[in-house]
Amino acid sequence: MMRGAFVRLLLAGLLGGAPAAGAQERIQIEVESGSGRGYQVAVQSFLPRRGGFTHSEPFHSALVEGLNFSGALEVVDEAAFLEPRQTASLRGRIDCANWRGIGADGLVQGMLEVRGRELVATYRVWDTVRCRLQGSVTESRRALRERELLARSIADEIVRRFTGKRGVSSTQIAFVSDGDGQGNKEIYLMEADGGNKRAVTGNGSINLFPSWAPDGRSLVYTSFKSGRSDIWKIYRGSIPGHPLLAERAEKFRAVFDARSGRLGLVMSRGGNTDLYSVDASGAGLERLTGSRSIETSPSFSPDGRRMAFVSDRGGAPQVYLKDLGTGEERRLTFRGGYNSSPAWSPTGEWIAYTARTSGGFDLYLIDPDTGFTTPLVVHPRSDEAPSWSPDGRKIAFSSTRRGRQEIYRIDVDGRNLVRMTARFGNSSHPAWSGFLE
Amino acid sequence: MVIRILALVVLVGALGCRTTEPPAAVEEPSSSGEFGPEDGGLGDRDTTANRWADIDLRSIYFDFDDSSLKPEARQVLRHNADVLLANPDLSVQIEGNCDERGSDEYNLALGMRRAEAAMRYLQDLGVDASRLDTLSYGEENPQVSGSGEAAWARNRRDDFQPR
Repeated sequence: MMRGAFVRLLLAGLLGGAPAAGAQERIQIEVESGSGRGYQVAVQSFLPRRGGFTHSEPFHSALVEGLNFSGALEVVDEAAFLEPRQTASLRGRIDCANWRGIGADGLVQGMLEVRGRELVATYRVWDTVRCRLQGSVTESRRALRERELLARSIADEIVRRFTGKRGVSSTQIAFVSDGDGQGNKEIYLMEADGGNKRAVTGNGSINLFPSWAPDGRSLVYTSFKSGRSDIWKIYRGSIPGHPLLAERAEKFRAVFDARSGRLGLVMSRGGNTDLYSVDASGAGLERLTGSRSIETSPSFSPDGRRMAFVSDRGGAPQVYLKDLGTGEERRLTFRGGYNSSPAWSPTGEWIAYTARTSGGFDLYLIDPDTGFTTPLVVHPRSDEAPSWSPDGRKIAFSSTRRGRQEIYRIDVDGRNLVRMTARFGNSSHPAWSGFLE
Repeated sequence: MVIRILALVVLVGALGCRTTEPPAAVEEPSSSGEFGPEDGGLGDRDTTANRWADIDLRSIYFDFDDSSLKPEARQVLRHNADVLLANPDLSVQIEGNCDERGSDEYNLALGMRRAEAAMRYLQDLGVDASRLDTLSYGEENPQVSGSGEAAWARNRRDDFQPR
């Protein structure tokens, strides 16, 4: 099919140019759909009631986009429907054979209404193959202005009912960009599909390295706005009043440990950069590494027991692992002379990292237990700073493949490369949020 | 004198921050609301610079992923030390910088190491530690934009900013 050819072209483009060492080792990484064909799902337009009519079309579009975004579900073209495009009722059974007949493995039906200043969606999900409901009838509501977010979060829940793992279309990506027209690096936010980009900081200084609190309610980032590099924390709906730590030292980056809610801190005291741990309020400082070498880039395993980090203790930057229980440290990467930016996958199975190669920088995946390494993104220009989607299916990263530094995302199996920041200055350091409530 | 001016700058800076940034309201944070954006920015970065506009402090340069002082760098640092010793009122902020290649975060640490290397050498040459301060911009403050070894070589450096 055309789609398959397109994927092959993309892969050829990814692997083209400099044939990277080890590219032939590319392995297939398992995703839920297994067969390569995602679940085909028919979506009847939600029946509008009590003011829901004006919201119906945008809601439906966002729902369909959210379902398709998952990569695990594909929405069936409604031109094929043998039954009405719109939900008639949430009571009673459906004619499963009719839906199976058009290739639908599932059916989504719902109602949409306005209550006060909220949009309320009530929906149910059918497994048309077994001809039974997937879960119960569910009501979900959000403020009217969050109409698209309501649709996307319902899409993510529907993905969970089919695959067992929540979708990520309602998550967000924080990133750094100088797209303000004045060349200042500020923190920005976009939706997981790259839409609705807006500024988080606007201090005219240098702002770097956003990292999400596990609950998605705040971000920490590095800023030079006080004249020196410091860590700041910003909550939704507010602006920060003071740096996170009062400690007089250069603080280069803070990274959340999603399990404990504490922060890994990259800090230089007396010129030597080491890793520390602090709680989310900036208190309870503990030292994690103590060598004379540079240590940066902490990334915590999802169980919180281990930390990947970068050290140049062997002469050049390499990725190391630290067992936070025993304190044992060992080197993980041995191939190449400059490896950095480890990002532990939410499933715990992989660490994505940036490797310097002859042409520039490429992204690799390494198994933290066996050291098995496989290329993820290989291109003559530079690809850097990987960040995982919370379902572990996608990776956002920055790339200079079209000149300026821009943010892309790719499926972990190397498919579906998408540019997310066209015409938005130089953009870098994507930080994918966890699941948002 | 200089310290007093510096203190004033810091104080004005702090007041500036306070007027543009009301205290953060952290109650009932939501997981879907909007962040900021904060407003306000850096004030005039440096009011002491004008006084030392003609001072002859020179940058030093490094090899890739390296913070060791090359013979040329040591020669320049001896010159900078002479300038500092001849101007006892002068304090400097040593700013470490890197080229654009590699991890931005690692480069902040590397820039710090470069700044510290210069500071230690100046101290060895008799400059009092209280007149020296260090900072790293990593790869965020290039002297020359663009890629290629010519630009990179100019960006792997320490700058010496009068204070």
